[in-house]
Amino acid sequence: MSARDPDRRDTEALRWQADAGSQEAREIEIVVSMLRSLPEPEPGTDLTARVMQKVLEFESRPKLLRPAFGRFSDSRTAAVLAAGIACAAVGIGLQLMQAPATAPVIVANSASASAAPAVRPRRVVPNFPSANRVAFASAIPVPRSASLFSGSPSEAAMPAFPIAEQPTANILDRRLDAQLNELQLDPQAFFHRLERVQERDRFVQRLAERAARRGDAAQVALNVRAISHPLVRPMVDQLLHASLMRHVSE
Amino acid sequence: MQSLVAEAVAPAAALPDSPASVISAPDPDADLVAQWQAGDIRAFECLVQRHERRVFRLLYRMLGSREEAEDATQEAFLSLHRHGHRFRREARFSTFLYRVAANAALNRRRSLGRSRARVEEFGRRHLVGDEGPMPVRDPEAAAQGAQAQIAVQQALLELPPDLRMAVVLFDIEGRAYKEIADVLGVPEGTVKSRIHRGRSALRESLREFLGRGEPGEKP
Repeated sequence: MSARDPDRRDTEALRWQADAGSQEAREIEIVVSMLRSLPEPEPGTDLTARVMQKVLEFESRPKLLRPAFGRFSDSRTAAVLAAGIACAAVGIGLQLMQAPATAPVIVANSASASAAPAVRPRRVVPNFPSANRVAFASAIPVPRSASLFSGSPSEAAMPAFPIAEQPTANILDRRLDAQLNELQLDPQAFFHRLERVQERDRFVQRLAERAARRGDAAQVALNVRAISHPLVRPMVDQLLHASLMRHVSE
Repeated sequence: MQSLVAEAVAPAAALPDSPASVISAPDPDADLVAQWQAGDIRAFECLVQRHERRVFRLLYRMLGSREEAEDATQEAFLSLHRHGHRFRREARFSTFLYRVAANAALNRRRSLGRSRARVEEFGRRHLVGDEGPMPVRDPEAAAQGAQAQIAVQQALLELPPDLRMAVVLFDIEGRAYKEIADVLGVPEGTVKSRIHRGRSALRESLREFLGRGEPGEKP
């Protein structure tokens, strides 16, 4: 072994580390591209309506109880709470059923009552049209407070905020509208995602046509033209072209 | 303490620059937010319409199920409505909303506590074509692509939530480091560290698709 062997070993080690490092970088690049190629999930078309319904339900509750409801908005917590309340209600009901009345009216005469003291007498409500009704039936408490915890408040309790009608346009238009929203809200992120759209030209064309139909294609073009991205130019061109064609056809 | 130090000395330089630069333009939601904070529920509805897709997307990536993501989206917007007065317009509204959504996702995951079942459910649904479209046309490529997509989403769901959130926001949603730091309430260095660790973990999970063998195998 020569004197330079330790140096060579160090060099080899460094080269191996560099190779490993570059391989890691390459693989991470692939991982990132795989992440970016994941399909974009679409929410249900009525998600806005459902959100607004939840908000309006919350708004319709008494203000003092809102913090408590907020805490119990999780469905599992609410279920546990409801089960607890139900158990408590049943327990109270049973206890009331078994407890002797404070001033019972005894149907049996005093002689028979003294002869059979072990049998618990039944209470009868006197002076009512249905006087032979068994009194303990009415001892079960009516769960008036339970309505406070019901999930769907009555329509009368709902405030008069109208929920916007669902758009009558087809789903494609709605999706294109959503994309146009995204484009204007965060153009950088939009163009970043646009890079991985497969039929990009067709998509941009459809987007531009939709914007032209809505009448704000020129405005959208004006909003996004300041962004520095290679795909901005074709997008602006398409938007202006579609806007022009729309005006000509009108 | 050690993990904090590790995060602080993260190999931030190894990460590429953010794909989305920090936008200094005025907040496009400012007017609607002002109206909503003044009590206009229609303005809030407009905000929901504008942002529901991106909130849903984030929550879907975090939770791995369409139903869970839709429920969590509703909870996030309800929470936003309840705590809207806390938004002081120092950051962009979308950043604030992301933070609310991130909290909703983390709370929901904590209460679920069954990530394994969720991963399996996701794989099953994808296999029966119940979880969104696969925009690949060639059948062979479609089969491979679908398999890879399932594997990527499963690997993503197996990441710890804090790493997953950082990776989703940066690599999928294209957010900037600063915005992610604002959303998560951590320094930018921590964000870079989490992204790096998340990517490395994904790289290990997806080695089958990277043309590598089992871990520890010499090339």
